[in-house]
Amino acid sequence: MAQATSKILLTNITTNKLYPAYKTKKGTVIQLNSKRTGLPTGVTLSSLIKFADSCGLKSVLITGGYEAKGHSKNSYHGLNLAIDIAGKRFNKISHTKVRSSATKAGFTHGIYENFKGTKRDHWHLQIGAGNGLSTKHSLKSYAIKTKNY
Amino acid sequence: MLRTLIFTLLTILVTPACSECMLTNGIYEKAGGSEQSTTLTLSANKKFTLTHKNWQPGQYEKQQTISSNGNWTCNQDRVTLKFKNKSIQLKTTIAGKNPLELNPKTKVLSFGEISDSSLDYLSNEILYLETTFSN
Repeated sequence: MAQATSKILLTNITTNKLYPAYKTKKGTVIQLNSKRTGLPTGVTLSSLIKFADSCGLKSVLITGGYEAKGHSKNSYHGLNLAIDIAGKRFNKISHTKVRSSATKAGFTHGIYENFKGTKRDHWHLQIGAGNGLSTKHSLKSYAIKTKNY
Repeated sequence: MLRTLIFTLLTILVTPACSECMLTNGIYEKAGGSEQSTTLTLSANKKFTLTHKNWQPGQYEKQQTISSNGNWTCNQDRVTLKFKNKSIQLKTTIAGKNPLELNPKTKVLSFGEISDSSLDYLSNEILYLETTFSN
């Protein structure tokens, strides 16, 4: 199903099979950090593409998507409703831009996990409240909150 | 007779080279930000410890941790993790050109599809050598 959907909306431009990469019709590259990271399907894939095409980057590094296993119980990743975007070290973009692009793309809630001194920082964006994200994480109502570790 | 002898000698000479392990002992970790992390420690005494953590967004301090251990073996680029009741295979390679700002020569452990439900968080996972042990 993911393959069929991605064939229509994205072009597979993978050069190293460890790191799948796709290009949108507008030319933005959606670069996955690992073959384990699952490309979302359906509405979430459409939202990811809209986000990528509007965030101002030529290439967006995605570090989490539709992974059925490995996340916490009831994770929105397992429900195909969430993505993780690599942090500022990789994606040179501001919280404000992430928020505006994510909201326009259809993501409703998000948070920035800041693991100081590592390469693990990322924005988690999801569609709908739940799994730890509540009203205070609403992208429409509030600036993106950072959780420092 | 002479041909048999030569063949036998060649086999003996070549076999150790073919079974050499290409793996470097050390700590291998998942790279990239998400609400999960995986660490595999491969010790020189052929013991391993596998740790997987996951958490809800913004709640790393409330992480759930799953740990398991066992023995590992290696033949060329193939590594086998032997648990109590099962085993899984993985491959050692190098990262190559990558989007993670890693040296292309960084050593990598690459997992394939894993059907065992207790280990499916390793399906298609890639772990990177972060710490090397001296033998």
